[in-house]
Amino acid sequence: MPHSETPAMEPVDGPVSESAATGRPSGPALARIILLGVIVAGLAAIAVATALRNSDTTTASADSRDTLAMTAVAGEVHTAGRFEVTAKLVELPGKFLANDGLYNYAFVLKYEVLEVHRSEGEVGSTLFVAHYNPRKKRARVADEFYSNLGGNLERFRAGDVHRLALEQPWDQHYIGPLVDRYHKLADKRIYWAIWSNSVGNGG
Amino acid sequence: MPRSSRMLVLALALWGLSQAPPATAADAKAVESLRKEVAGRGFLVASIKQKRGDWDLVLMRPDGSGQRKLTDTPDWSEAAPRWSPEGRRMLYRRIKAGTVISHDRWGFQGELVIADALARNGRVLGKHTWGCWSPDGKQISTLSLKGIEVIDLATSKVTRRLSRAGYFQQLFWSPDGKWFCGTANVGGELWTIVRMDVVTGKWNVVSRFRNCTPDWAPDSKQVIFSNRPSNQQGYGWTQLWIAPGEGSKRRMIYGEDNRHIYGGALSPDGRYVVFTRCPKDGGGSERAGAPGGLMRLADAPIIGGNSPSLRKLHPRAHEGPVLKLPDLWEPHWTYTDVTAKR
Repeated sequence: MPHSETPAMEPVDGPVSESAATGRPSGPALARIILLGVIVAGLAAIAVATALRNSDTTTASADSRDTLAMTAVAGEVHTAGRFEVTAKLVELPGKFLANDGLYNYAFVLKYEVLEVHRSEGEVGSTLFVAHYNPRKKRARVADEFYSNLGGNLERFRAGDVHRLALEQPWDQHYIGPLVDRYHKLADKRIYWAIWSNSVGNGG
Repeated sequence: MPRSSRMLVLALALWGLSQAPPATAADAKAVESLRKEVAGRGFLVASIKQKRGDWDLVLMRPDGSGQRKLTDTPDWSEAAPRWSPEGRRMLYRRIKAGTVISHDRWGFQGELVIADALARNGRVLGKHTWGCWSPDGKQISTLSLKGIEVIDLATSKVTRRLSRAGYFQQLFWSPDGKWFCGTANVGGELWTIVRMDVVTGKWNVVSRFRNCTPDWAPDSKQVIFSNRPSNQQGYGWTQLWIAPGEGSKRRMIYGEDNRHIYGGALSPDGRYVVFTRCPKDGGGSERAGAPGGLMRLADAPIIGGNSPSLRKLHPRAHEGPVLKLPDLWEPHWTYTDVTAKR
C-alpha cells in the first residue's frame, strides 16, 4: 500500500473572545461581531450576484462552444456539392483495396436515402456513391489531388447512417481508378462524395 | 563459428549459386556487345534525383555514358521528358521541388513546359495534364476531367474535345496519329489498358487487370505496358509486357522476381527497350528512381536475377543480355542528334 507524504494536520491554537464568566460575548465584542456579520452578509450578497452573472456568461459561452463544435462536426456537409442527403449504407460489396499510400482509388457504395436536404434534380431512393480511398478516415482523406474532401466518418459499416454532401456526375469531379462492384447495373447514377459525416448506427 | 555451422553456410552458398543464372564471361561479353551496339544510337533523356532533393533532366547515351545535366534547378523538379517526333523540341513537367512525384499521377502534377531538345528556353504552357505530342508536333493531347482535348500549340486553342470514356491517366497519342492508349476503368475493372480511335472515339481493351504506364511502339500497332499478373503468390511483381493494339495475345518482355518493372520505352526503331527495375512498387518516383535496364526486343522474354517463381511460369525465357543503366525515372529515347548545333 503506498504511503501518503502529506503530513497530519496539527490543531491550530488561536485567541478566543468570550466572556470567561458567562460564556457570552461582552458588549464591545458583540458590536464587533454584529459589524463583522454585516460585512460578511454584504460580501456574500456581492458574491452571489457575481456568481449569478457569471453563471449566465458561462451558459452563454457553453452555448457558443456547442455551436462551434456542431459547426466543426458538420464541417462542409451543409455547403459542399449540390446534393445533401441522409442515407443508410446498405452493404459493403466486398473488401476495400489497400490504401498503402501508393495506389489511390474510389469505391462505389450503395445507400438507401432517408432524407434529402438539398438537391438540384431528383434524387432516387437508392443512391450509388463513390468514396475516395475508403480505408481512410474522412478527416484525413483529402490530399494534393482532392483537397476539398472531408467529414467526421471514421469507417464504413453496413447499416450505418451517413449525412453526405455530394456532386454528380462523379466523373466530372474525379478522374482515377474506380472500383464499381455494381457495374452490371445499367444506367445507374453514381454520385461523388465530398463530405461524409456519421449520423449514427442505423441498425 | 562451429564446424557444423560453417558447413551449413557453405551448403547454402553452393545451393544459392546453383540457383543463380550463370554469370559467365560469355554473359559479360554479350552485355558488352549490346553496349557497343547501342552506345551510338542517339540519346536517352530521363529524370534523375539529385542529392539536394529535386529531380533534374539528364541526357546520356543509350549505354548510360556521357551523362550531362540538361536542367539544374534546385527549386523545381523536371519530370517525364519527351522529345517531339522530329527530335527538335521537348515536353516535360515542371513540379515544385519538395513535391513527392506520384509514380502514376505525375501527369496531374505541376505544369507542362515546352523547350528545345536540350530543355533550353523552356516556356510554361499551363497545367495541361498528361500533355503529349501529336504526330506532327504541332498539337498536344491532354487528359482531364473535361475529357480528352487536342490543343494547337501555335494558338493555344482547343481544337477538339472527346469524351474521355474510362481513361483516367497516362494518355499517349500513337505515332501514326490514329490512336490513343491509356489506363482506364472498364466494366467495373480498373487499371485496364485501352486503345481509342482518335476520329471515332471507339475503343477496345488491350490488356485487362493490373496494368499501367502504356506507351506506343513506333509502328503504332503494339502497346508496351507494365502488368502485375495474378498468377503470382502474394502481392506479386510487376513485369513489362507488349500486346497488339487490337488486344489479342500479349507477351512478356522482361520480368524479375523482387523487382517491379516500369517506365518501358522503345527505341525509335522499336529494336530496343529501356525500363526501370524498382525493388519497391511504384517505379521509384516517390523515392530516388530505380536502376535502369536496356535490352533487345528480339531477345524477349528475358527474366532477370534468380527469379525461380517467374522461371517456372516462363520456362522458355532467356537470361539476357541486359545492359545496366543508372538510377533514373521515365526515360525517353531519340535517334536525333540533339546535341548538333542548328
